[in-house]
Amino acid sequence: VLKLFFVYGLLILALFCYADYRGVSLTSYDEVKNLPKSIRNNPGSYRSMYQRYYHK
Amino acid sequence: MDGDRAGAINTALPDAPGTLKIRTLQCPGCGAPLSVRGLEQTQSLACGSCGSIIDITDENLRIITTFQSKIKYQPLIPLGTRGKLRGDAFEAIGYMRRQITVEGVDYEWSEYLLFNPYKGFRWLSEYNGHWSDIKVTTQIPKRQREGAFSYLGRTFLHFQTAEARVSYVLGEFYWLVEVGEICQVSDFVSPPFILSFEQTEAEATWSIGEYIEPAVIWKAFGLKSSVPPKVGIAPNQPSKLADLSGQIWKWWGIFLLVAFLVQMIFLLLSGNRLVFQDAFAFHLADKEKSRVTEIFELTGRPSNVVVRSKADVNNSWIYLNLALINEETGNAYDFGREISYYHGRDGGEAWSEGSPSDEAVLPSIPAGRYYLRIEPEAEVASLNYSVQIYRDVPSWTFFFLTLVGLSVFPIFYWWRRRTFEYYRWSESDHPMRSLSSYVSRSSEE
Repeated sequence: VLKLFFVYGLLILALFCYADYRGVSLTSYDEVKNLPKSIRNNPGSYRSMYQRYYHK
Repeated sequence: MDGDRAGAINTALPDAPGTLKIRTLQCPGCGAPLSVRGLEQTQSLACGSCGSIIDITDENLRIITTFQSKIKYQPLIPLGTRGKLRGDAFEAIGYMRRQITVEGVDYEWSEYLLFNPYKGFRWLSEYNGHWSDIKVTTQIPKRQREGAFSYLGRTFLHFQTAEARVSYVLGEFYWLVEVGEICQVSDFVSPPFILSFEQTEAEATWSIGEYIEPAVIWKAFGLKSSVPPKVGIAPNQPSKLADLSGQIWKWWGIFLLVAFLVQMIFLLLSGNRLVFQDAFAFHLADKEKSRVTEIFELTGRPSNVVVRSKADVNNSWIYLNLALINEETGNAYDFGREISYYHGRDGGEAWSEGSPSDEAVLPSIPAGRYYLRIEPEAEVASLNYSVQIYRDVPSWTFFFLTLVGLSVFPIFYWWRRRTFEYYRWSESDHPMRSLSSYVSRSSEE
């Protein structure tokens, strides 16, 4: 059991180091690939997938 | 070495029958042949055939008492069996059963009297498959406080006090034993040890017992029968989890310390750089409300990006559709945030809800040239809002998650250890409260 805890603890520490190093977060985003460069000139041409009327 | 051997006392039992003074006699009650192995120290002898207890110090072999037992118990260690227990040779010479009654329930256990002419007497007690090796203490234990005694550097806690009654005897004893003999017994435990204080009108005795695995006894006495299974938890049964739990907590502490040091290193080394900030105005009347920011550079390893936004919301809201777009690859990280802040007074009491600021964390964003596309939505005619973008911001989230993750094991083993102790003490005068009772009590409150 102690060995198992030792391995488990090391694994948790490794995950923690990785998460801290890569700036992992529990929040998420949606990744959209290959947007056209024209968005910079015409911001309204892109419709975010979060586009919505949102209010509590 | 030779000198040591010459000076050592040979405590082995004599092997040849002729060398040990075994006295044989006939039971005055039924005529059954009886043997006396305890030399001059035996005072009474219980006949297994007729239940007579004979005073063998009396030259006429007076029958002290005769008892009737519905059950003829067969000792698990047959009387006359010799064995080497913990380095000393002993012979089983007496067997008795004693019982206590607690809340109307009888609890009965067996005691085996062992004898070695050089070492004296020792007892083995057995209850529900749990065995203890018992001998009289060499010192009187010191009272520490109410319900606690110290002996040989250990603290023994009171377990149970009850009136023990002899219910069955077989073989020989160093006192004039009687079925029905009563004494007050108080047990104090410090696993694997148990201190027992036995008091009669005539005398008071302290004895110390140590939990012993039945397999050790079976091996010591060369018993061929199967080892009876253990039932429940004995008062002095050592918990295997006690050591394990301690070790686990020790490693938990080490892991936690390492995690804290790692966290400190990341806190010190993290960039926490402000890479962009700007303020914007929202006008409901504008045809095109979407904005794009200037291009900013995110450098270093893939790390987080924190977008902090503020808005002049006052009993209003604004929703920001945001996209962090890599100018070179065209990859966009889409997310949406609402900033709302409402406040007022209700029934004379001030209240507020929400906040005029917000923070969003985008994990593991690779280095590159980026800009932010902002598309606001709101119902007010106009309001101002601002955005700040930080790169490589330290976070405590994973440190606390690590703390939780590391604690799973020790908490589980603490719970298992506590459950063990709960069952141990459930048979005592001081039962522990169950964990579920805490839960039910807190839910009632």
